Amino acid sequence: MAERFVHQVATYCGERSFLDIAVPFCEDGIRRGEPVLAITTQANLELLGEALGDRAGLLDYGESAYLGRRTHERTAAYLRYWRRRRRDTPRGRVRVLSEPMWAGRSERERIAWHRMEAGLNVLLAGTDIWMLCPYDTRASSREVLDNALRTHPHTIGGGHEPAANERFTGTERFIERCDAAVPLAVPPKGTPAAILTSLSALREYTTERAAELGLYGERAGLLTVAANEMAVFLAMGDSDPLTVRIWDRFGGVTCELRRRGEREVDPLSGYCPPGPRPSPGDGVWLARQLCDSLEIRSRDGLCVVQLNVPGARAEEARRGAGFALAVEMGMVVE
Amino acid sequence: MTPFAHPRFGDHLCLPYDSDGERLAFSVAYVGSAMRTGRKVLVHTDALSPAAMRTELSRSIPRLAAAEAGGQVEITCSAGSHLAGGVFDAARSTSALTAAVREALRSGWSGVCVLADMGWAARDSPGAEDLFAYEAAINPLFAVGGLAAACLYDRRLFPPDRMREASAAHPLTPGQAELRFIATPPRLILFGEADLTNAPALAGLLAPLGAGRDDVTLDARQLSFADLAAMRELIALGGRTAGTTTVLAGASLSHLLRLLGAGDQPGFSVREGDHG
Repeated sequence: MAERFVHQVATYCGERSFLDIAVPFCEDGIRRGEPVLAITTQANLELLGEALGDRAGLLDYGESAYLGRRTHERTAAYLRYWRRRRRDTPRGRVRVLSEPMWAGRSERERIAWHRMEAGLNVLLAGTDIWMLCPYDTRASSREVLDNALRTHPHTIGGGHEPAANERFTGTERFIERCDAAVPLAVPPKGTPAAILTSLSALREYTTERAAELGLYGERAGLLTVAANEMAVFLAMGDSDPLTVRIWDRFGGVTCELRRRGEREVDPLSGYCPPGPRPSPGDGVWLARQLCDSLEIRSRDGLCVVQLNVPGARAEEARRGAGFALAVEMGMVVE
Repeated sequence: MTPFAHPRFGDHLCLPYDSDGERLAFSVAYVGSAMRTGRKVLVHTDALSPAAMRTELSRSIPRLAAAEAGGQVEITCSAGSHLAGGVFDAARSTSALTAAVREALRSGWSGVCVLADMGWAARDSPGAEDLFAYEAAINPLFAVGGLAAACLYDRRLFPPDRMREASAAHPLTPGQAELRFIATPPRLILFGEADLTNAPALAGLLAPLGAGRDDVTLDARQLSFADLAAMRELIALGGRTAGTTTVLAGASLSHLLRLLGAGDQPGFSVREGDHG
């Protein structure tokens, strides 16, 4: 089958340069009757709207800072849009102009977004999405721009068509490098450790520790679901106990599952939503949906998983984990 | 003694044991408790002959002989019950279990408690490879009421992977997720936890739903935990029913099911909340 998902990178510097990239992409899609979603800054959305004139009414849009604030929410937004709109066009082609937001991000978050950009090549491989990712050279560091070129298999050709990107390094290798660049969180001195051999004991311990750290009800429940899936992924059992530590830090709660013995870990594990047949990455995918971030490391004779969720004092999360999920799934209009 | 030694109708228990003393202590407690609550008791023994089992039980249950004479307790050889004709036949065993419940109710007992030592299945008995599928498939019988069973598996006879298979075919194993259920057609109500350790049991329970019935309602509001595999089972139910499938669920489970695409499936709906 011919390549379906197109993932283009383009850099711009200034308003004119942004419109040179974005307008032909959107206009061409609208002319062909293809659904077009533009996710960029509010300033760029206004520019684009003015440039498209009457045709702007056919453009679906979202602001980068709010539509999928976290990486897994953004990927869910892409998939949701594709599932909903692909039937509206005869060829099933759906266009997405998506500008990531880099300002104000921590190093850890920047790596997560680069990792997501790379992961999209796998996650969206079976879709007919044509995605164009504009990067603002004024707002992006050299490193961000270099990584943009490494994570997108296509650039823009002379006639705005997709052209092969020679700087693309391959998804799996890039994600492995991202994982290596993010150090695991270190538990504070005195963090209790439980050695557990059963899933029910793990759930009980996670729920109790979460409550001690101020997470109750649905928020504790969803952390428990994520921890349970990762314990299954680590093949927890009588002869393979897990050492479990749960601690809080400013900005979040970390739940660490540690087992003896390295395990083969697919760096793309958990990027694709579950298909009709169960696969080992399905639980990882679910855990990723329920956490701010999830790290898996297998080295030095150990396999370690860290699940990071918002802490008890995270004001946004106080609206309820279920609320966040509902927003992500488009069931709530804020 | 484990609380599971006091049988509750609907409980299909896997009891792994490590020693003859442990097996006997559980058997005494289970049979004694079932007798006290006016239930028919079927004891399928394997490690001991029926005569030896009778002697052992009688030491702690003085009324045993009278109960046997009065038809409340029957002690038979497991292999004889399960391997009639020299081969394990799941359909025949299922029919026998159904008939036992019917007969007990007809005779005025409130239901049947079965205590079965499953050691025969570790001896390469013909057809024994179908045992765990049978254990999972009979779970719907327990949803109707009037039936409880404790299946005793000797850890010295079954290797760890076979033990995991055995316990996963049962909704209840001490120390693992505890799943309970009641059928009130067309509704099936689930309680407790569903995870990897009882996944085949849940699949077996749900397997007959939707066949020959238009609409199915699965009340999962009291399901305190469901892992991904369990949620997939619930969603798969929607794909094989001719009519509509409704899952009643709490807030977290509702969100998770929708996250997994439950809302995209025609004829399948998730209803959140306390009303149903």
